[in-house]
Amino acid sequence: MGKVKMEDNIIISAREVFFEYEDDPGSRALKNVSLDIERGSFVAILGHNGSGKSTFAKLINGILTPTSGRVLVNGLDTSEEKNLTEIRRKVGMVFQNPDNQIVGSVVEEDVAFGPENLGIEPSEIRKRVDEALETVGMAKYKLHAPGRLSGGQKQRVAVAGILAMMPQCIVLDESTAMLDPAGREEIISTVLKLNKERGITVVLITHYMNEAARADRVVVMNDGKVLCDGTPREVFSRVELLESVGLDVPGPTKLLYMLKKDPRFFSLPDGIVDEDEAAALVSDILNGRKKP
Amino acid sequence: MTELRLEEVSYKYGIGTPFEKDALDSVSCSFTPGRITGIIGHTGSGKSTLAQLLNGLNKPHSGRVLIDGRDIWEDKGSIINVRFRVGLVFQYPEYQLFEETVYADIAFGPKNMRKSDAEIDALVKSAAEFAGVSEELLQKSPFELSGGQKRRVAIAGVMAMDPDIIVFDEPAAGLDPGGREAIFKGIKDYQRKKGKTVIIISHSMEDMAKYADELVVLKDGRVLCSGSVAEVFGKSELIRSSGLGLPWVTSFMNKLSTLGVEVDCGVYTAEDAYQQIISRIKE
Repeated sequence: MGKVKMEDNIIISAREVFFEYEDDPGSRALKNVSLDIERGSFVAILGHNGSGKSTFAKLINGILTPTSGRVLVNGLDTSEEKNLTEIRRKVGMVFQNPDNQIVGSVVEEDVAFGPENLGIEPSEIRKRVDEALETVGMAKYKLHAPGRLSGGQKQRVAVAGILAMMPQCIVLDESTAMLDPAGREEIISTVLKLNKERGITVVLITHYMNEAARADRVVVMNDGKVLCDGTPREVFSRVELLESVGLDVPGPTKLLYMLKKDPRFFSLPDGIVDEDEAAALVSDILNGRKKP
Repeated sequence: MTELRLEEVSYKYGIGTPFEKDALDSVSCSFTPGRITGIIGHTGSGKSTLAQLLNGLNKPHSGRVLIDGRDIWEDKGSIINVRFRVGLVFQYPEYQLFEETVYADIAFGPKNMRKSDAEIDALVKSAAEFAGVSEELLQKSPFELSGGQKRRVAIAGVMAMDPDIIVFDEPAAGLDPGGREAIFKGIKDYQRKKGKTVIIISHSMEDMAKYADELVVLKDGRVLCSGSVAEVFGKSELIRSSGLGLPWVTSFMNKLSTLGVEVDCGVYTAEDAYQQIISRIKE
């Protein structure tokens, strides 16, 4: 199958990837992006509209292929047609609009759609569908019509549909953008669980800082390039850089950043994203438990 | 100025089916003319249902929707005029563009109102400016635009009808931080300069803390509380019980207070929190 040698701990490798949309030549949606994603990691890709983050997502499982450079999944090149079935078995995508990705008229039928296409035994499909719905907390809705579910529930059904194909990696392409705060939390906690308990690699494309803050690693994209890459704390320490490209930092991070400009709060660390941690740090200084 | 008020309004879905549900249950509230009122609540709290009652798109099963003290359903034949006075921008309105050019799309409303060509032209241009649709986009096809641009065209289309009151249902849904801010600033600018009454349906406490003057909080089809933004966010326990979550700043200040720092928990912007914390250390 023309496997390219790749380190075992890397599941996805983008190498010097350029991408131009055909109907918009010269657009250069991606300009020389190189990125390795480790097996079992939870990576958030952050950026505003037009930054190239969704283009990158679609390159991962071969919906788009690079104009130049290459994308490898488990060593398989996405631009080779014959690799695509195998790649899509390993990498499942959840898209933005919950109403555009439900095909079945009953929840469990929808979840079975993927494994059916893979030619899996019916008894095995039954097992996988039940397990997948259990995992995303939608088992009791298995005989419901998807149309009556909330946005967050529909997206969880979409995640179950992917789980039933037993992927190694799930890519969420702005899958929380159309949901309310409760629906967003349902999705994020579901994928966090899959990542921590089952070691499934998660690539979360988002423009919500507080979601990115929960990943192991945050990659910020701007203008088709990687702007910065690191742990949430490292990335969110760079308040000025992020703001210069029109991105916010999480609220508590911003408040500590503002306070830090005052010499009495100079000892505050950078990049704190957690509200409790931030409150504890500030109260220590105010209560005189810690010398500013 | 036009005053819009609801009096014990109830609305049900699926009457006579096993899915019958009270979407709104005896809701009374009023919207201060010339101000921005945010209607906040969870998905399923009834906020979008409420929006569709405000301009007579749906009729309440009981109770009254009053404009300047008159029931809008008093004379069914004139409901069309209510729709001209109360503009409604739906969720994801960009899916409703259909004309050949952006200009024609924005002009659709005022044309239906039988305005003259000169009036239509002035309305289109002013609305486009408030909504952030640049001049060179006007002759393009709406389908050539980006999602954010389409959203602004759809908003301009309602603004161009020059309604007294304009209702936005989740105007920034799905947009990135830059896009959200541009939309809300445009709305605020429009409200200030034109002195319009604006109603924004939202589930974002953060956005409403920044842009609204007054709030109506809905829970399970009822009004949980209402008042100025400061009054509503001051009731932190009640808000929390609605499952909505406070703006992070308010919640942060509450945490500081439980850690023994004396702060006023009624703040909801980062700037105010900063000022409070800085002033505490000086003492």
